Amino acid sequence: MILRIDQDSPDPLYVQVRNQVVGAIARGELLPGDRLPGVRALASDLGINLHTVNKAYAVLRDEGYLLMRGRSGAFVADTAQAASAARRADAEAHTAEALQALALEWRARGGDEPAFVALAAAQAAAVFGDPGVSGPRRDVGVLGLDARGDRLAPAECAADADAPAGAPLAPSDLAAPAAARA
Amino acid sequence: MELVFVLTLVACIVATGGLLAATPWLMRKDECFAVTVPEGARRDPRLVAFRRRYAAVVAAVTAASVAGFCAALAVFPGVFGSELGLVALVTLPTFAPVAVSFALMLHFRRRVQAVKRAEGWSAPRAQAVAVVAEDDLPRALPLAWNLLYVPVVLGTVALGVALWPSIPDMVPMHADFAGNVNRWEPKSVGSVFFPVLVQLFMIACLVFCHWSILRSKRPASPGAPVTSALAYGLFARAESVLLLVSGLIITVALGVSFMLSAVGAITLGGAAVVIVVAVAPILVGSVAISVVYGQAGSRLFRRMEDAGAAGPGAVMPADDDAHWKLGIFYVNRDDASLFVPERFGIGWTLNLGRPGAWAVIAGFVAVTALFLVLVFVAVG
Repeated sequence: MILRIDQDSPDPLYVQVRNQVVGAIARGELLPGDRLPGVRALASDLGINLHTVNKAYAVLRDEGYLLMRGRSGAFVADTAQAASAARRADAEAHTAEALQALALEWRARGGDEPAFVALAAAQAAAVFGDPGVSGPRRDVGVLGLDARGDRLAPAECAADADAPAGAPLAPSDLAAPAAARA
Repeated sequence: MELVFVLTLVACIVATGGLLAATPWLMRKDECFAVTVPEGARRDPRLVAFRRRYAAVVAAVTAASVAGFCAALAVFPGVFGSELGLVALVTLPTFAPVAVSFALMLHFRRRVQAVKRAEGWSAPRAQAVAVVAEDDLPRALPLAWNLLYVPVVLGTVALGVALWPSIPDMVPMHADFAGNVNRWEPKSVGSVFFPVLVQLFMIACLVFCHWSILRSKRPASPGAPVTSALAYGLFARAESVLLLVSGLIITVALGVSFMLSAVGAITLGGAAVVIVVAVAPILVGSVAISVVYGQAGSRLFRRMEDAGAAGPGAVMPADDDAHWKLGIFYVNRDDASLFVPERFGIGWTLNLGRPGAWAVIAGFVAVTALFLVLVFVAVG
């Protein structure tokens, strides 16, 4: 994953780092368990102060995105498991607040509700529709799957002739052919 | 004997001068004579002319130094008997290319800065980039590889212990460049095992250099972050391998040759020849890495450069000139790095804005002084 900072941007440096890490986690560039460099190494590579990176990592830890393991660095947390109910409620409240601020701004400029909702829907579609780096760009034909993760038709797939075409792959299906081949 | 030393000294002067002359072509694409320039600016005819002129002058000074050195040796053949005389004779030809290269670099740096101002090349925003969580990118060897030095030191000690009964009562300590021994010391633990002390000092220096490569800033250029990070990783790995291999070769050669000379199996002059021959592949390897990889791996992806030259008003992602004093001294308090890649040369340098850098310098002085004291005490 590539971290870019801009010393002349209005956003403070630690906010830039935090936003990019969050974006990378959302896009799948950073997977749970990936190790981010230590504070000193990242500060050194970016040419910035230790305190800046410390702040960024502290913010990410507070928000539940990172886990620190002593001196070996920071690890991306598995938000599905690590996020407690309190944290999820917090995140939801935070998002609601941000949306309200945006809606107020939109209204103050003379916009109306349908336009705001349409804009929000378009942005959400862009983010959630983005398959990220683990999407169709990865060729999974060798596993007998198509781009969406469904089983390939027997004509397209040389390996598995007895699997039903078009059905989403269940974990048991993955185990069976391996066992049959073993 | 003398011929070997003369050839070695000439080879050192030629290699140093040659590398200095070639330096502008080995540096990163966005830097020219220690000035940040836009990508593609290296194709500007003025900058090309600067590089050629610099190389021509440094090459000429190197050739003149070698010629002067050989002429002086022909005029004063007796200088080999006097160590002080030879050192005085070698000093000027060795340092002349270095001094001229530094002065010329400063001169052309001013010229490039003038071109940069005239063309309006600027960096409106100060961007930086880091490649993060890509663990398959190559990097310098882990420090644990330096454990290979342990068997070398233990082997030297064991060799000394095994040869101890056969060592005569007077151990040859020093020979002049003609190979005639001119100082003996009585056989003692200090006089026989001082090579181990030298090995330990060298290992300490080399391990510190290895550590500094591992701790260094890993530069990535905002235009091609992963490519430049990959190139730098390959360069750092190659340099750390060279460091380890050089260290092993030199420490083995030192230990074995001095132990054998103490016992009389080879002469002290022969020991020196063995060490000189051992250094030859290190010289070749160092030059090869510099030329093939370039500073920070800049020569590895030459084909990916922009086709056109930079026009007026071209924009750079960042401009580091303010932090590089005299082109080669990096001073930046806000940068957490202690070691950064050099700007005009192959290798790494200190960030003098950090107090840790001055601690490193003071530490080196202290350790060197301690080593000298210990050797004098051991040898007597």
